[in-house]
Amino acid sequence: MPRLYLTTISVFCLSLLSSLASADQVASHQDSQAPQAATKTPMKLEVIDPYVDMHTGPGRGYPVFHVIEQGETIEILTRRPDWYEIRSNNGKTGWTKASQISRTLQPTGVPVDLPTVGHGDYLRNGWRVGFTGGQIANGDIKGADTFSVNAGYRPLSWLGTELEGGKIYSTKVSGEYYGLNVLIEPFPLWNALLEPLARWDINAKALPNWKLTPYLLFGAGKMSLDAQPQHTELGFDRSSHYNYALGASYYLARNFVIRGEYRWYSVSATDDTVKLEEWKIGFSTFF
Amino acid sequence: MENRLQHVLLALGKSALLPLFLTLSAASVAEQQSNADEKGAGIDTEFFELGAFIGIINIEDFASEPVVGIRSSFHATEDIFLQFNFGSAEVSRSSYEKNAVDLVDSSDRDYRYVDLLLGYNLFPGEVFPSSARSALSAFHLVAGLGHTEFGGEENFTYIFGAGYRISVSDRLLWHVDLRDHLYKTNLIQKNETVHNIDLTTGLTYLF
Repeated sequence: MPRLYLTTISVFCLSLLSSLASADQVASHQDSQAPQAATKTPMKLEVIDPYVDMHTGPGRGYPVFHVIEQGETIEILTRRPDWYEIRSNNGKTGWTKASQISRTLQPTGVPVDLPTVGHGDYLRNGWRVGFTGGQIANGDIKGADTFSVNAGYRPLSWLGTELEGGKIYSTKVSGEYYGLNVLIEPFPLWNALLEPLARWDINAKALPNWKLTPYLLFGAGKMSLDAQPQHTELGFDRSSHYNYALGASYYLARNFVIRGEYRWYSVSATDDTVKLEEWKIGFSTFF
Repeated sequence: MENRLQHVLLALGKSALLPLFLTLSAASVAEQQSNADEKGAGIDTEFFELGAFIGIINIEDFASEPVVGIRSSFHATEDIFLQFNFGSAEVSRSSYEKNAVDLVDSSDRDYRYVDLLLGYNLFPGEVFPSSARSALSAFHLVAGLGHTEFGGEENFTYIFGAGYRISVSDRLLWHVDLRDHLYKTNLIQKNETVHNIDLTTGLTYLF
């Protein structure tokens, strides 16, 4: 039994790390060559906006201490969420908001395409990891707390898969579950269907970037419930279950999602089928 | 229980070694792709933190014990981060147990927790250790869910806390954190909600 739980933790760690590696291949590459990094010339760009503010730190409240004018070149040093650390012509180092240097030119005169994790990016690259917490909403173990970790990959903008492992805790039982889920998101599916049409129609409006996207989830896996001595009528060991859920994701920030769902489980226990319902709320981040 | 511990430690061991391995394997992939994709080439990112902490945890009805653990974070935006922690302590006999009977078997005296937290940088700031040097800092709040194992029990845990971090160098951060771990237990033969508070300090590396 512990093995199941620990497998999930390992899977979580593994997926987190592999997603991390695949998403930041370029960056990791640099890390691995740290000694050479100092000698490597950073990316140089020409500013085409009227001006770029340089802040003392990577946050909206840090004071502006220098302004770079149109036509000057800057060097990009590092990237943090929403911010870039840059060095000016005259050697000043500071932080600038990603959106402020989104319009810059490479030395070749070609506009640069700096990486920003956006909605579109999310739907394209599909790794995401997160955790959820919730409660069982029916039956003998109503009110039992649950907690799960998940790691997923999204091959298509509207279709995702995820591995999930979780625990159930109450005074009557303690349990574990793990499984594979498939998520279908109708809104991005709608976009995917309209996209080919929009390409032909010059007057077509830009497709909406959905902030709130509902989803349907189907899953299957194994579940165990170990009953405490005074509640022997409950409990089963590594029984198969299937489940489905209705939920919605909301984009708190561009790479950060809050997610809520209501899930129905059907567990084939030794004697009969146990029906469980669970609501959960979670946070996920994607790469 | 022992078996489980070994697995947890193994999993964590992997998590410490894997970045190295994956970095190396990713490097070769990146090399092949570097020509194909100009986007973001050569820009270093600082989104992840990985490190360790040490401190004191006060375990209600028992004792205050040294705690050690692993801390990792992912910064999603300038305000929000996700954090994963693993902590471990060995609980000595309480004063009650010294005078009466043991409440917890010697095999169950390892206290372990796993936290999944959501963090918010409430007061980002800058400090000036000398006239020539400035360092970024932040006072942050965290809240989340987790799992605590102690005395043969496994408990669903709520975590609340606050902390302060300051950059020692470009990529090294120093943290001080205070966290409350709340869960329901009946280890001392009555149901109660306990608050186990830990005060920790640690270093993490940004990458």
